[in-house]
Amino acid sequence: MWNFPLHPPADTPLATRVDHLFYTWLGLAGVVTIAVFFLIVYFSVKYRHGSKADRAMPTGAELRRESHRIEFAWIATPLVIFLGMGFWAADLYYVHASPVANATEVYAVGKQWMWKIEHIGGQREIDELHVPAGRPIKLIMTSQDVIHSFFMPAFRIKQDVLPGRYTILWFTAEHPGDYHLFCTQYCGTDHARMIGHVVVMAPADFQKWLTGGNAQQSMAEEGAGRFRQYGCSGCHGANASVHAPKLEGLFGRRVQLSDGTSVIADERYIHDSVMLPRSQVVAGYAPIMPSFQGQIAEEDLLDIIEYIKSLRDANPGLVK
Amino acid sequence: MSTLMLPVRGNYLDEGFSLWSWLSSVDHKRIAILYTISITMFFFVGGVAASLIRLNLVTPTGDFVSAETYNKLFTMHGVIMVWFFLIPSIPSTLGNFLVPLMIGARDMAFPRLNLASWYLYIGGGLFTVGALIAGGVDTGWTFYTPYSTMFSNTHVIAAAAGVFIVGFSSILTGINFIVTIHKMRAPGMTWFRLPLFIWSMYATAIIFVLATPVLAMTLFLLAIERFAGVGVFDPALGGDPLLFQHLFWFYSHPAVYVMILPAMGVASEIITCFARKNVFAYRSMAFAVLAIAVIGFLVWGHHMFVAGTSVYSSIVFSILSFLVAIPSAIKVFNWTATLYKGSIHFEAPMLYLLGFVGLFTVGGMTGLFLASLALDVHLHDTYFVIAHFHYIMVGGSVMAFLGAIHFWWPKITGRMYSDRWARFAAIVVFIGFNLTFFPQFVLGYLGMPRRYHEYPPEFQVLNVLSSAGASVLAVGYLLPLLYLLWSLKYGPRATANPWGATGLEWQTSSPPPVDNFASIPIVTAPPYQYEPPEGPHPNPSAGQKGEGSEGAVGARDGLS
Amino acid sequence: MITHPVPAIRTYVLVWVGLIVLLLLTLGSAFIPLGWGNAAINLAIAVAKSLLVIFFYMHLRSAHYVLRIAATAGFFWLAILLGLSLTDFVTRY
Repeated sequence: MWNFPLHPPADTPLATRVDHLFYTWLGLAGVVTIAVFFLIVYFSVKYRHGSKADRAMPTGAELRRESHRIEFAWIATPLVIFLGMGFWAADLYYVHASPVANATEVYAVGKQWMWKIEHIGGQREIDELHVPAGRPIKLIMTSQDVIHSFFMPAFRIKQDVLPGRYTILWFTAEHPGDYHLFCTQYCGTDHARMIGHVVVMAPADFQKWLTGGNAQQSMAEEGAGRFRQYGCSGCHGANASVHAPKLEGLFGRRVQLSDGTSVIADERYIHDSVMLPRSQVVAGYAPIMPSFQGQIAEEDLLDIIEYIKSLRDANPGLVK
Repeated sequence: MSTLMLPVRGNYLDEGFSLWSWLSSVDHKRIAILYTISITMFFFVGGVAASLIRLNLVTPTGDFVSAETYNKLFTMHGVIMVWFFLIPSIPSTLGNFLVPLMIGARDMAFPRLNLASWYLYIGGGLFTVGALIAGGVDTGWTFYTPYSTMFSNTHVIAAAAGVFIVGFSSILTGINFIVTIHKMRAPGMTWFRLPLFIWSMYATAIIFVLATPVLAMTLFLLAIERFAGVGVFDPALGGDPLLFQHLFWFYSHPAVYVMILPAMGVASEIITCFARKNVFAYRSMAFAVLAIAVIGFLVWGHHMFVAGTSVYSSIVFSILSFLVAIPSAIKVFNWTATLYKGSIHFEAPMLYLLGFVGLFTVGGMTGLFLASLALDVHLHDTYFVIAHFHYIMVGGSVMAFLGAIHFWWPKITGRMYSDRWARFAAIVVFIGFNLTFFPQFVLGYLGMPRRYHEYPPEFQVLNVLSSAGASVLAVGYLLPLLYLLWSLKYGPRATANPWGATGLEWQTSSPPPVDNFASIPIVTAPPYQYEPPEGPHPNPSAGQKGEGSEGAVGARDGLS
Repeated sequence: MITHPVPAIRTYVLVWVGLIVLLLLTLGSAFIPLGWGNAAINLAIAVAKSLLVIFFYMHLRSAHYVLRIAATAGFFWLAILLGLSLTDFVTRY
């Protein structure tokens, strides 16, 4: 029973750096707190009522000068230390917020009360995330309903997962192992059961897991099916008679909107165009697209987005 | 005005004994008592919820209550403790009682508005408690959207309405304090002769007036979205859930300072009195309070570092959060320096307040961990945050509130309590508190998320420790209830100034007369007049022999 | 008591007429498509209207300076709310 951890495992380079920051803070805070406690106790004993301690104090201008000096020190010293620590922490935060370019993308959808994970190859899992060790992973996350938060304590990272938006979390796990995955944003009745595992595997084992997985087809292939199933191809397909924007080569391009502004066509733009089509109408097109709000599950939409991404360099003929 | 003599009337407690004489009284002292009784009741309701939460967390599988009940319990605990205990705690009870007394006024600027505040408080309280009893709310005290607007099927609007109403009580109290402190000071009571408690009440009142309307608007928008489906926060309706968080924390972060600033004011009064030495650096203490109130408005974004806000915004808020720590640090150092070369007495109020300084230091230092961006990414929404803000709010505000009640109890009730029991209770609270909340820091760094009804088994030992501490803490809170109530009937009568303190409130009788002062005092000196002699103090409790009321009022004139 | 000259009824009526004219301007501008210009015009008109209310109906034109400071503080804090919120909204990707 007394064999319980006091320190969580750390399995990414960032986690180790966060630990350094934490223990530095702990040292600083410890020194300050112990100093305050010590002084309180020391003064309480030495200057307790009735003790014979010397209580002679400077007075008048001398006292004022003295106390100004002391107070300046009390303002300047903590300020310098705090800001220094703050910049250190901000620097690490910037690392945390900037995924490396070559990261493998994995999609995650939060849903009361489970995590649905989908790999580019089409492998799906629930409340488990399998990743290879030593390779940077970038999670692209959204929520089907309320706000959730994807927290992996062993990697010292979390990120809220919002409906209607894609948020990013990236990490490079170092060693094979099984780590906690928690939802940390309160999301309703079974919030405490929205937990799972992050399974870090040796690259070879991970390859084996990928091929032995449940994937019938890749996300993009799955998305092509959904594209037809939800009737998107009726207007956006190659042979459609409706005047609708073409999607080939769309992803990552700048799109002119009818209100004079322009946006980069990223995941969020495509998501909003499907769910809230009237908020961003492409210049030169009539606002005739119906909203798919409430009709299309977030994970299906992710497949469609992956399909549209795969059309990046494709020629129009490929759209069936 | 200063020469106006009123016919001598009895003390305010003897002014009427019927229930109606209390419910219709516009005397600030009686309204303070009404508040004291009502917030104490809310404190114990919130405390029962806390006890059930801790009981449930003894086992990792959460066997004691169901998940639904658990979620309603922590929501009830948060809503009641924040809005119906902590925010009104010191301002509405001791603030109401002491502001006019300390500045040498006969009442607040708007006595009837003061009573109206209490009725709003009770109205909002009954509304919220009604909602909680009718079936409860499970959104957490933060009411985050879109859960609260679209997904929760509990009594969200009713609970929000209760909070909305009690907000107006805060606003009215704030306006009353500001006007009273501006316009009602006794002759000679210049700004830098105000006791630091008054400065802290002034800063608190500013926050009340400027922040609370934003809460009201936010809850109103929430109700409109939930009720009428108008898209403000829900992305499915074209809204932005982070907008809710911005608006909510724009109020709720300054609200944290509403809880701690009055505690700081109390600390300055009590520590300086029991150290028999003038508070160190009075002016910087006063400016620090104002700085905290103002800078406290600029840091709300540190609740949202992982919420999906932009990196640049997070960096701005992180730096501002470090800045707000500076005035708090100044205060802690100055309290400690006040002890230096004092002549320190250790009656119960002092024990509470020394505990306050220690626990507030721990709470403040761990706040710096959370202001550090990369660390907050790990610690946010874990038990580390829970431990941190309980150190501030319970270790800080509640300790100071209890210390203040003990310090001014003789003045309020005219009775002395058993100092021996009170010192015992202070120590029990201190130990119980640390046992309860220190393990939660460790739990947080290990990664245990907050608002979890069940948890992985490796966290059990620390949770059991925490729950065990909570039972000690509960005893510590029940003790004062008992011996203070006992003192009302059996306690020896208090003199006007049992602690030998130098504030104006100690120069009138205990309990004070209806009109506070026989004649309005004329102030000629700064608030603190403690001059410890070199060597041993000649008379431990000089004040206890001092006669009360009229004779003492004028005594201050000769003190400069 | 703070006393200040109470404006004549005529002033109130004129201010009211001004408010109505501004309201009609808002309405009219909605029929002229100017892109983001519409929002700018509407905001400008809203500011003008609130200034009229503040200075005349709320008597701040003739109020004691402490009251004016108090009123200004409200706007200052509103600016804080909007300004610091915008550090997030305008720099999100």
